[in-house]
Amino acid sequence: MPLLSLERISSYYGDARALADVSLEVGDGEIVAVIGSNGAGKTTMLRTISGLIHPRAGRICFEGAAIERMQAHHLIRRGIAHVPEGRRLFAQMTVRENLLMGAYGAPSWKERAALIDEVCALFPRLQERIGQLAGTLSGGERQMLATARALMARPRLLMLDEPSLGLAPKIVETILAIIQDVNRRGVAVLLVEQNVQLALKAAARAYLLESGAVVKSGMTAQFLADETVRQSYLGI
Amino acid sequence: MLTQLVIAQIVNGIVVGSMYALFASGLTLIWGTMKMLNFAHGEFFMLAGYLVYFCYAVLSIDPALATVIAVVVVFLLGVVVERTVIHHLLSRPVWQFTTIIATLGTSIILQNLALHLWGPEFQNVPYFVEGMLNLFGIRIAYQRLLILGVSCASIMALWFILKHTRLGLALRATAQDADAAQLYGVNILSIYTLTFGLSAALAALAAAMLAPITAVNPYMGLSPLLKGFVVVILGGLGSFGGAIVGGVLLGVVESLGVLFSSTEWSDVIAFTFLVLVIWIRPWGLFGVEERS
Repeated sequence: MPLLSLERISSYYGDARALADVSLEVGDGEIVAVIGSNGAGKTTMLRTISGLIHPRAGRICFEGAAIERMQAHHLIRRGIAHVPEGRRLFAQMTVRENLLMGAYGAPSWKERAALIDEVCALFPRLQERIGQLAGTLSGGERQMLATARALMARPRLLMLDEPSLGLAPKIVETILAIIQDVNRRGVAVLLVEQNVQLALKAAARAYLLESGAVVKSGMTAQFLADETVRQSYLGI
Repeated sequence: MLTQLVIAQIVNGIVVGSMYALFASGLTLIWGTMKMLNFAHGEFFMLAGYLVYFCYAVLSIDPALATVIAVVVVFLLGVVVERTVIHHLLSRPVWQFTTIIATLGTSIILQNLALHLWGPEFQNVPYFVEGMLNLFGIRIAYQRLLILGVSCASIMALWFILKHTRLGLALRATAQDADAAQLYGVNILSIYTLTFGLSAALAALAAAMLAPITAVNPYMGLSPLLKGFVVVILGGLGSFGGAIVGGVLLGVVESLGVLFSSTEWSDVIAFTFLVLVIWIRPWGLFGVEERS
Protein backbone atom coordinates (compact mmCIF):
# COMPACT_ATOMS: atom_id res chain seq x y z
CA MET A 1 0.00 0.00 0.00
CA PRO A 2 1.46 3.39 -0.94
CA LEU A 3 1.97 6.04 1.74
CA LEU A 4 -0.10 8.59 -0.17
CA SER A 5 -2.47 8.03 -3.04
CA LEU A 6 -4.67 10.42 -4.99
CA GLU A 7 -7.52 8.81 -6.91
CA ARG A 8 -9.16 10.88 -9.63
CA ILE A 9 -8.94 14.17 -7.74
CA SER A 10 -10.69 17.26 -9.12
CA SER A 11 -10.21 20.63 -7.43
CA TYR A 12 -11.71 24.00 -8.26
CA TYR A 13 -11.02 27.64 -7.57
CA GLY A 14 -14.54 29.03 -7.69
CA ASP A 15 -15.83 27.69 -10.99
CA ALA A 16 -12.43 27.22 -12.56
CA ARG A 17 -11.21 23.64 -12.53
CA ALA A 18 -7.57 23.55 -11.47
CA LEU A 19 -7.15 19.76 -11.19
CA ALA A 20 -8.87 17.25 -13.45
CA ASP A 21 -8.97 13.57 -12.46
CA VAL A 22 -5.48 13.55 -11.05
CA SER A 23 -4.22 10.22 -9.77
CA LEU A 24 -0.83 9.91 -8.12
CA GLU A 25 1.03 7.74 -5.64
CA VAL A 26 3.93 8.27 -3.28
CA GLY A 27 5.48 5.15 -1.76
CA ASP A 28 7.01 4.95 1.69
CA GLY A 29 10.46 6.57 1.68
CA GLU A 30 10.25 7.55 -1.97
CA ILE A 31 11.10 10.85 -3.68
CA VAL A 32 8.50 11.72 -6.28
CA ALA A 33 8.69 14.78 -8.51
CA VAL A 34 5.80 16.66 -10.07
CA ILE A 35 6.82 18.85 -12.98
CA GLY A 36 4.92 21.11 -15.31
CA SER A 37 4.77 24.70 -16.42
CA ASN A 38 3.34 27.64 -14.52
CA GLY A 39 -0.39 27.23 -13.92
CA ALA A 40 -0.40 23.49 -14.58
CA GLY A 41 -1.97 22.83 -11.17
CA LYS A 42 1.10 21.74 -9.19
CA THR A 43 0.54 24.12 -6.28
CA THR A 44 -3.20 23.37 -6.24
CA MET A 45 -2.35 19.70 -5.96
CA LEU A 46 -0.23 20.25 -2.85
CA ARG A 47 -2.82 22.57 -1.33
CA THR A 48 -5.47 19.91 -1.90
CA ILE A 49 -3.36 17.20 -0.26
CA SER A 50 -2.56 19.32 2.79
CA GLY A 51 -6.22 20.25 3.31
CA LEU A 52 -6.06 23.97 2.54
CA ILE A 53 -8.60 23.34 -0.21
CA HIS A 54 -10.95 20.41 -0.50
CA PRO A 55 -11.42 18.46 -3.73
CA ARG A 56 -14.85 18.38 -5.35
CA ALA A 57 -14.36 14.80 -6.44
CA GLY A 58 -11.99 11.91 -5.81
CA ARG A 59 -10.25 10.31 -2.86
CA ILE A 60 -6.98 10.99 -1.07
CA CYS A 61 -5.58 8.25 1.14
CA PHE A 62 -2.72 8.65 3.58
CA GLU A 63 -1.50 5.56 5.42
CA GLY A 64 -4.75 3.89 4.41
CA ALA A 65 -7.11 6.55 5.79
CA ALA A 66 -9.29 8.83 3.65
CA ILE A 67 -8.14 12.39 4.30
CA GLU A 68 -9.74 14.49 1.57
CA ARG A 69 -12.28 16.05 3.98
CA MET A 70 -9.80 16.78 6.78
CA GLN A 71 -8.65 20.24 7.83
CA ALA A 72 -5.04 21.31 7.34
CA HIS A 73 -4.34 21.62 11.06
CA HIS A 74 -5.22 17.95 11.59
CA LEU A 75 -3.17 16.68 8.67
CA ILE A 76 0.14 18.01 9.99
CA ARG A 77 -0.40 15.83 13.08
CA ARG A 78 -0.94 12.81 10.85
CA GLY A 79 2.46 13.36 9.28
CA ILE A 80 1.98 15.50 6.18
CA ALA A 81 4.19 18.59 6.21
CA HIS A 82 3.82 21.12 3.43
CA VAL A 83 6.45 23.76 2.67
CA PRO A 84 4.35 26.15 0.62
CA GLU A 85 5.30 28.14 -2.44
CA GLY A 86 7.31 31.20 -1.43
CA ARG A 87 8.30 29.52 1.90
CA ARG A 88 5.69 31.50 3.84
CA LEU A 89 7.87 32.01 6.89
CA PHE A 90 6.59 34.05 9.80
CA ALA A 91 8.75 37.05 8.88
CA GLN A 92 8.20 39.01 12.09
CA MET A 93 9.10 36.04 14.27
CA THR A 94 12.57 34.76 15.10
CA VAL A 95 14.14 31.65 13.60
CA ARG A 96 13.54 29.90 16.90
CA GLU A 97 9.87 30.89 16.98
CA ASN A 98 9.40 29.73 13.40
CA LEU A 99 10.86 26.37 14.37
CA LEU A 100 8.61 26.23 17.44
CA MET A 101 5.61 26.77 15.16
CA GLY A 102 6.69 23.69 13.19
CA ALA A 103 6.35 21.65 16.37
CA TYR A 104 3.11 23.34 17.42
CA GLY A 105 1.48 19.94 17.88
CA ALA A 106 4.27 18.60 20.13
CA PRO A 107 3.03 17.93 23.67
CA SER A 108 5.57 19.95 25.71
CA TRP A 109 8.12 22.78 25.60
CA LYS A 110 10.78 20.24 26.55
CA GLU A 111 9.96 18.16 23.52
CA ARG A 112 9.90 21.23 21.28
CA ALA A 113 13.33 22.30 22.56
CA ALA A 114 14.72 18.82 21.90
CA LEU A 115 13.34 18.92 18.34
CA ILE A 116 15.01 22.31 17.77
CA ASP A 117 18.38 20.84 18.77
CA GLU A 118 17.79 17.90 16.47
CA VAL A 119 16.86 20.04 13.48
CA CYS A 120 19.66 22.55 14.08
CA ALA A 121 22.13 19.68 13.90
CA LEU A 122 20.96 19.24 10.29
CA PHE A 123 21.12 22.99 9.58
CA PRO A 124 24.04 24.49 11.56
CA ARG A 125 23.46 27.81 9.80
CA LEU A 126 20.08 28.13 11.52
CA GLN A 127 21.71 27.61 14.90
CA GLU A 128 23.85 30.69 14.19
CA ARG A 129 20.77 32.72 13.26
CA ILE A 130 18.47 31.35 15.97
CA GLY A 131 17.55 34.73 17.52
CA GLN A 132 17.28 36.63 14.25
CA LEU A 133 13.97 37.60 12.64
CA ALA A 134 13.08 35.26 9.78
CA GLY A 135 12.50 38.27 7.52
CA THR A 136 16.19 39.19 7.70
CA LEU A 137 17.49 35.85 6.38
CA SER A 138 18.98 35.34 2.93
CA GLY A 139 17.08 33.34 0.29
CA GLY A 140 18.98 30.13 0.92
CA GLU A 141 18.62 30.45 4.68
CA ARG A 142 14.90 31.02 4.27
CA GLN A 143 14.51 27.80 2.34
CA MET A 144 16.54 26.00 5.00
CA LEU A 145 14.32 27.44 7.74
CA ALA A 146 11.15 26.54 5.85
CA THR A 147 12.37 22.97 5.43
CA ALA A 148 13.55 22.79 9.04
CA ARG A 149 10.20 24.11 10.27
CA ALA A 150 8.46 21.33 8.39
CA LEU A 151 10.81 18.72 9.83
CA MET A 152 10.00 19.92 13.35
CA ALA A 153 6.65 18.20 12.89
CA ARG A 154 8.41 14.83 12.34
CA PRO A 155 6.53 14.19 9.10
CA ARG A 156 6.22 10.93 7.21
CA LEU A 157 5.70 12.90 4.02
CA LEU A 158 7.40 16.19 3.18
CA MET A 159 5.88 18.24 0.36
CA LEU A 160 8.07 20.95 -1.12
CA ASP A 161 6.66 23.58 -3.47
CA GLU A 162 9.36 25.12 -5.69
CA PRO A 163 12.21 24.93 -3.17
CA SER A 164 14.72 26.21 -5.76
CA LEU A 165 12.75 29.31 -6.69
CA GLY A 166 14.89 32.44 -6.68
CA LEU A 167 18.01 30.68 -5.40
CA ALA A 168 21.53 30.74 -6.86
CA PRO A 169 22.65 27.45 -8.51
CA LYS A 170 25.12 26.74 -5.74
CA ILE A 171 22.42 27.03 -3.08
CA VAL A 172 20.10 24.88 -5.17
CA GLU A 173 22.76 22.16 -4.90
CA THR A 174 22.71 22.51 -1.11
CA ILE A 175 18.93 22.28 -1.04
CA LEU A 176 19.08 19.16 -3.21
CA ALA A 177 21.55 17.58 -0.79
CA ILE A 178 19.26 18.43 2.12
CA ILE A 179 16.26 16.86 0.41
CA GLN A 180 18.20 13.66 -0.22
CA ASP A 181 19.52 13.66 3.35
CA VAL A 182 16.02 14.05 4.78
CA ASN A 183 14.82 11.26 2.52
CA ARG A 184 17.56 8.92 3.72
CA ARG A 185 16.12 9.35 7.21
CA GLY A 186 12.97 7.68 6.01
CA VAL A 187 10.83 10.68 5.06
CA ALA A 188 9.00 10.41 1.75
CA VAL A 189 9.26 13.54 -0.40
CA LEU A 190 6.81 14.97 -2.89
CA LEU A 191 8.73 17.60 -4.83
CA VAL A 192 7.05 20.16 -7.05
CA GLU A 193 9.46 22.00 -9.29
CA GLN A 194 9.69 24.18 -12.34
CA ASN A 195 13.38 23.45 -12.35
CA VAL A 196 12.86 20.15 -14.16
CA GLN A 197 16.51 19.24 -14.24
CA LEU A 198 16.74 19.47 -10.44
CA ALA A 199 13.50 17.58 -9.94
CA LEU A 200 14.47 14.71 -12.21
CA LYS A 201 17.89 14.51 -10.60
CA ALA A 202 16.47 14.24 -7.08
CA ALA A 203 13.51 11.92 -7.69
CA ALA A 204 13.15 8.31 -8.68
CA ARG A 205 9.72 8.74 -10.24
CA ALA A 206 7.95 11.72 -11.74
CA TYR A 207 4.59 12.99 -12.96
CA LEU A 208 4.07 15.61 -15.64
CA LEU A 209 1.07 17.92 -15.17
CA GLU A 210 -0.43 19.94 -18.00
CA SER A 211 -3.56 22.10 -17.55
CA GLY A 212 -4.50 20.27 -14.35
CA ALA A 213 -4.16 16.74 -15.69
CA VAL A 214 -1.43 14.10 -15.48
CA VAL A 215 -0.15 13.61 -19.02
CA LYS A 216 2.84 11.44 -18.28
CA SER A 217 4.21 9.43 -15.37
CA GLY A 218 7.03 6.99 -14.84
CA MET A 219 10.65 6.57 -13.80
CA THR A 220 12.75 9.72 -14.12
CA ALA A 221 15.04 7.90 -16.57
CA GLN A 222 12.09 7.59 -18.97
CA PHE A 223 11.46 11.34 -18.65
CA LEU A 224 15.06 12.15 -19.40
CA ALA A 225 14.89 9.97 -22.50
CA ASP A 226 11.59 11.39 -23.71
CA GLU A 227 11.96 13.68 -26.71
CA THR A 228 9.00 16.03 -25.93
CA VAL A 229 10.04 16.38 -22.27
CA ARG A 230 13.59 17.16 -23.35
CA GLN A 231 12.39 19.78 -25.79
CA SER A 232 9.63 21.48 -23.81
CA TYR A 233 10.99 21.27 -20.29
CA LEU A 234 14.72 20.73 -20.42
CA GLY A 235 15.49 22.79 -23.49
CA ILE A 236 17.86 20.20 -24.96
CA MET B 1 2.67 76.99 39.30
CA LEU B 2 2.48 76.51 35.57
CA THR B 3 5.08 73.72 35.59
CA GLN B 4 3.08 71.94 38.29
CA LEU B 5 -0.04 72.26 36.21
CA VAL B 6 1.77 70.94 33.15
CA ILE B 7 3.18 67.99 35.10
CA ALA B 8 -0.23 67.24 36.59
CA GLN B 9 -1.76 67.28 33.11
CA ILE B 10 0.97 65.01 31.74
CA VAL B 11 0.32 62.53 34.55
CA ASN B 12 -3.41 62.72 33.84
CA GLY B 13 -2.70 62.21 30.15
CA ILE B 14 -0.64 59.11 30.86
CA VAL B 15 -3.42 57.70 33.05
CA VAL B 16 -6.16 58.28 30.47
CA GLY B 17 -3.78 57.27 27.69
CA SER B 18 -3.03 53.96 29.38
CA MET B 19 -6.76 53.21 29.18
CA TYR B 20 -6.83 54.21 25.51
CA ALA B 21 -3.92 51.80 25.10
CA LEU B 22 -5.79 48.96 26.77
CA PHE B 23 -8.94 49.60 24.77
CA ALA B 24 -7.04 50.02 21.50
CA SER B 25 -4.89 46.93 21.98
CA GLY B 26 -8.12 44.94 21.80
CA LEU B 27 -8.98 46.56 18.48
CA THR B 28 -5.50 46.07 17.11
CA LEU B 29 -5.47 42.43 18.21
CA ILE B 30 -8.60 41.79 16.15
CA TRP B 31 -7.29 43.74 13.18
CA GLY B 32 -3.92 41.98 13.38
CA THR B 33 -5.25 38.42 13.55
CA MET B 34 -8.59 38.58 11.78
CA LYS B 35 -7.97 41.58 9.49
CA MET B 36 -11.38 42.96 10.39
CA LEU B 37 -12.70 46.06 12.16
CA ASN B 38 -14.90 45.57 15.20
CA PHE B 39 -17.46 48.34 15.58
CA ALA B 40 -19.04 46.62 18.58
CA HIS B 41 -15.88 47.09 20.66
CA GLY B 42 -17.37 50.19 22.33
CA GLU B 43 -20.46 48.22 23.37
CA PHE B 44 -18.35 45.57 25.11
CA PHE B 45 -16.86 48.55 26.95
CA MET B 46 -20.33 49.90 27.76
CA LEU B 47 -21.70 46.54 29.00
CA ALA B 48 -18.70 46.10 31.28
CA GLY B 49 -19.39 49.57 32.64
CA TYR B 50 -22.94 48.52 33.54
CA LEU B 51 -21.75 45.24 35.03
CA VAL B 52 -19.41 47.15 37.34
CA TYR B 53 -22.18 49.60 38.14
CA PHE B 54 -24.62 46.85 39.12
CA CYS B 55 -22.11 44.69 40.95
CA TYR B 56 -20.26 47.43 42.79
CA ALA B 57 -22.55 50.49 43.06
CA VAL B 58 -25.86 48.62 43.42
CA LEU B 59 -25.00 45.25 44.99
CA SER B 60 -21.91 46.53 46.88
CA ILE B 61 -19.70 43.68 45.74
CA ASP B 62 -15.98 44.26 46.28
CA PRO B 63 -14.66 46.40 43.37
CA ALA B 64 -11.88 43.93 42.50
CA LEU B 65 -14.39 41.10 42.29
CA ALA B 66 -16.81 43.33 40.34
CA THR B 67 -14.03 43.99 37.83
CA VAL B 68 -13.27 40.29 37.49
CA ILE B 69 -16.97 39.54 36.96
CA ALA B 70 -17.23 42.24 34.28
CA VAL B 71 -14.11 41.01 32.46
CA VAL B 72 -15.13 37.35 32.53
CA VAL B 73 -18.75 37.97 31.49
CA VAL B 74 -17.72 40.27 28.63
CA PHE B 75 -15.04 37.78 27.52
CA LEU B 76 -17.76 35.13 27.25
CA LEU B 77 -20.05 37.57 25.48
CA GLY B 78 -17.25 38.26 22.98
CA VAL B 79 -16.88 34.54 22.36
CA VAL B 80 -20.62 34.17 21.84
CA VAL B 81 -20.81 37.14 19.45
CA GLU B 82 -17.88 35.78 17.42
CA ARG B 83 -19.41 32.29 17.24
CA THR B 84 -22.89 33.46 16.30
CA VAL B 85 -22.39 36.67 14.29
CA ILE B 86 -18.85 36.68 12.86
CA HIS B 87 -17.67 33.08 12.56
CA HIS B 88 -19.64 31.93 9.54
CA LEU B 89 -18.92 35.18 7.65
CA LEU B 90 -15.15 34.78 7.78
CA SER B 91 -14.97 31.86 5.38
CA ARG B 92 -17.22 33.50 2.78
CA PRO B 93 -16.45 36.00 0.04
CA VAL B 94 -16.45 39.76 0.82
CA TRP B 95 -16.13 39.05 4.54
CA GLN B 96 -14.18 42.32 4.82
CA PHE B 97 -17.48 44.16 4.30
CA THR B 98 -19.98 41.76 5.82
CA THR B 99 -18.08 41.75 9.13
CA ILE B 100 -18.19 45.55 9.26
CA ILE B 101 -21.97 45.52 8.81
CA ALA B 102 -22.35 42.65 11.27
CA THR B 103 -20.35 44.34 14.03
CA LEU B 104 -22.07 47.65 13.35
CA GLY B 105 -25.42 45.86 13.70
CA THR B 106 -24.29 44.20 16.92
CA SER B 107 -23.28 47.62 18.23
CA ILE B 108 -26.70 49.12 17.46
CA ILE B 109 -28.54 46.17 19.00
CA LEU B 110 -26.51 46.19 22.22
CA GLN B 111 -26.74 49.98 22.55
CA ASN B 112 -30.53 49.98 22.17
CA LEU B 113 -30.87 47.00 24.44
CA ALA B 114 -29.03 48.93 27.15
CA LEU B 115 -31.16 52.00 26.48
CA HIS B 116 -34.34 49.93 26.74
CA LEU B 117 -33.30 48.07 29.89
CA TRP B 118 -31.53 50.76 31.86
CA GLY B 119 -32.64 54.10 30.38
CA PRO B 120 -30.57 57.01 29.09
CA GLU B 121 -29.51 58.37 32.51
CA PHE B 122 -25.91 58.63 33.60
CA GLN B 123 -25.22 56.25 36.49
CA ASN B 124 -22.45 57.21 38.85
CA VAL B 125 -20.00 54.67 40.13
CA PRO B 126 -18.06 55.58 43.30
CA TYR B 127 -14.26 55.55 43.26
CA PHE B 128 -12.74 52.16 44.08
CA VAL B 129 -10.28 53.91 46.38
CA GLU B 130 -10.77 57.29 48.00
CA GLY B 131 -8.19 59.96 48.61
CA MET B 132 -5.44 61.84 46.86
CA LEU B 133 -1.73 61.48 46.72
CA ASN B 134 0.05 64.79 47.29
CA LEU B 135 3.47 64.75 45.69
CA PHE B 136 5.36 68.09 45.76
CA GLY B 137 2.13 69.96 45.34
CA ILE B 138 0.84 67.74 42.53
CA ARG B 139 -2.36 66.03 43.57
CA ILE B 140 -3.33 62.74 41.99
CA ALA B 141 -6.39 60.71 42.98
CA TYR B 142 -5.57 57.18 44.11
CA GLN B 143 -8.17 55.93 41.64
CA ARG B 144 -6.01 57.27 38.81
CA LEU B 145 -2.90 55.61 40.21
CA LEU B 146 -4.87 52.39 40.44
CA ILE B 147 -5.82 52.75 36.78
CA LEU B 148 -2.18 53.23 35.85
CA GLY B 149 -1.09 50.21 37.87
CA VAL B 150 -3.80 47.94 36.45
CA SER B 151 -3.10 48.96 32.87
CA CYS B 152 0.66 48.49 33.25
CA ALA B 153 0.13 45.05 34.79
CA SER B 154 -2.32 43.92 32.13
CA ILE B 155 -0.22 45.23 29.25
CA MET B 156 2.76 43.32 30.63
CA ALA B 157 0.64 40.20 31.08
CA LEU B 158 -0.61 40.48 27.51
CA TRP B 159 2.90 41.01 26.21
CA PHE B 160 4.05 37.92 28.09
CA ILE B 161 1.20 35.84 26.65
CA LEU B 162 1.96 37.00 23.10
CA LYS B 163 5.69 36.50 23.42
CA HIS B 164 6.14 33.46 25.61
CA THR B 165 3.18 31.12 25.45
CA ARG B 166 2.08 28.59 22.88
CA LEU B 167 -1.20 30.45 22.47
CA GLY B 168 0.64 33.73 21.85
CA LEU B 169 2.84 32.05 19.28
CA ALA B 170 -0.23 30.72 17.49
CA LEU B 171 -1.89 34.12 17.65
CA ARG B 172 1.08 35.91 16.12
CA ALA B 173 1.59 33.21 13.51
CA THR B 174 -2.07 33.46 12.48
CA ALA B 175 -1.73 37.24 12.26
CA GLN B 176 1.28 37.01 9.97
CA ASP B 177 0.18 34.18 7.70
CA ALA B 178 -3.05 32.33 8.41
CA ASP B 179 -2.44 29.67 5.73
CA ALA B 180 1.01 28.82 7.03
CA ALA B 181 -0.26 28.76 10.62
CA GLN B 182 -2.93 26.26 9.57
CA LEU B 183 -0.36 24.10 7.78
CA TYR B 184 1.59 23.78 11.03
CA GLY B 185 -1.34 22.75 13.17
CA VAL B 186 -3.08 25.93 14.32
CA ASN B 187 -6.85 25.73 14.29
CA ILE B 188 -7.26 29.31 13.10
CA LEU B 189 -11.03 29.39 13.59
CA SER B 190 -10.68 28.78 17.32
CA ILE B 191 -7.85 31.32 17.43
CA TYR B 192 -10.27 33.85 15.92
CA THR B 193 -12.88 33.09 18.59
CA LEU B 194 -10.34 33.42 21.35
CA THR B 195 -8.91 36.64 19.92
CA PHE B 196 -12.37 38.15 19.85
CA GLY B 197 -13.05 37.16 23.46
CA LEU B 198 -9.65 38.43 24.61
CA SER B 199 -10.20 41.71 22.81
CA ALA B 200 -13.62 42.15 24.44
CA ALA B 201 -12.06 41.39 27.83
CA LEU B 202 -9.51 44.19 27.34
CA ALA B 203 -12.31 46.65 26.58
CA ALA B 204 -14.10 45.41 29.70
CA LEU B 205 -11.07 45.96 31.90
CA ALA B 206 -10.68 49.51 30.62
CA ALA B 207 -14.38 50.17 31.25
CA ALA B 208 -14.25 48.80 34.79
CA MET B 209 -11.34 51.10 35.63
CA LEU B 210 -12.84 54.19 33.96
CA ALA B 211 -16.44 53.78 35.15
CA PRO B 212 -15.88 55.76 38.38
CA ILE B 213 -14.35 58.62 36.38
CA THR B 214 -16.68 58.87 33.39
CA ALA B 215 -20.02 57.49 34.71
CA VAL B 216 -22.07 54.83 32.91
CA ASN B 217 -24.65 55.26 30.14
CA PRO B 218 -25.74 53.43 26.96
CA TYR B 219 -23.66 55.67 24.65
CA MET B 220 -20.44 55.59 26.65
CA GLY B 221 -18.81 53.27 24.10
CA LEU B 222 -18.85 55.67 21.18
CA SER B 223 -16.12 58.08 22.27
CA PRO B 224 -13.59 55.36 23.20
CA LEU B 225 -14.32 53.59 19.91
CA LEU B 226 -13.41 56.69 17.92
CA LYS B 227 -10.36 57.31 20.08
CA GLY B 228 -9.49 53.63 19.81
CA PHE B 229 -9.42 53.80 16.02
CA VAL B 230 -7.30 56.96 16.22
CA VAL B 231 -4.83 55.15 18.48
CA VAL B 232 -4.74 52.04 16.30
CA ILE B 233 -4.05 54.07 13.16
CA LEU B 234 -1.59 56.28 15.02
CA GLY B 235 0.40 53.30 16.25
CA GLY B 236 0.18 51.35 13.01
CA LEU B 237 -2.64 48.91 12.29
CA GLY B 238 -2.12 45.56 13.96
CA SER B 239 0.90 46.64 16.00
CA PHE B 240 0.56 45.85 19.71
CA GLY B 241 3.45 48.09 20.76
CA GLY B 242 2.07 50.81 18.50
CA ALA B 243 -1.31 50.69 20.28
CA ILE B 244 0.39 51.11 23.67
CA VAL B 245 2.63 54.00 22.65
CA GLY B 246 -0.12 55.56 20.51
CA GLY B 247 -2.61 55.36 23.38
CA VAL B 248 -0.35 57.04 25.92
CA LEU B 249 0.78 59.63 23.38
CA LEU B 250 -2.79 60.52 22.49
CA GLY B 251 -3.71 60.81 26.17
CA VAL B 252 -0.83 63.19 26.85
CA VAL B 253 -1.37 65.31 23.72
CA GLU B 254 -5.06 65.64 24.58
CA SER B 255 -4.59 66.67 28.19
CA LEU B 256 -1.83 69.13 27.32
CA GLY B 257 -4.03 70.54 24.57
CA VAL B 258 -6.84 71.06 27.06
CA LEU B 259 -4.46 73.20 29.09
CA PHE B 260 -4.27 75.71 26.26
CA SER B 261 -7.88 75.51 25.10
CA SER B 262 -10.85 73.81 26.77
CA THR B 263 -12.24 70.31 27.26
CA GLU B 264 -14.63 70.53 24.31
CA TRP B 265 -11.60 70.79 22.04
CA SER B 266 -10.06 67.48 23.10
CA ASP B 267 -11.57 65.53 20.18
CA VAL B 268 -10.45 68.21 17.75
CA ILE B 269 -6.94 67.98 19.17
CA ALA B 270 -6.97 64.17 18.96
CA PHE B 271 -8.01 64.10 15.31
CA THR B 272 -5.71 66.97 14.30
CA PHE B 273 -2.84 65.04 15.84
CA LEU B 274 -3.89 61.94 13.91
CA VAL B 275 -4.07 63.82 10.64
CA LEU B 276 -0.62 65.30 11.22
CA VAL B 277 0.91 61.93 12.02
CA ILE B 278 -0.56 60.08 9.05
CA TRP B 279 0.43 62.96 6.82
CA ILE B 280 4.07 62.27 7.66
CA ARG B 281 3.86 58.51 8.26
CA PRO B 282 0.78 57.08 6.51
CA TRP B 283 1.54 53.63 7.93
CA GLY B 284 1.51 54.92 11.53
CA LEU B 285 4.26 55.19 14.10
CA PHE B 286 5.03 51.48 14.38
CA GLY B 287 3.37 50.10 11.28
CA VAL B 288 5.32 48.77 8.33
CA GLU B 289 5.10 50.58 5.04
CA GLU B 290 3.28 48.40 2.55
CA ARG B 291 4.63 48.30 -0.95
CA SER B 292 2.46 47.10 -3.74
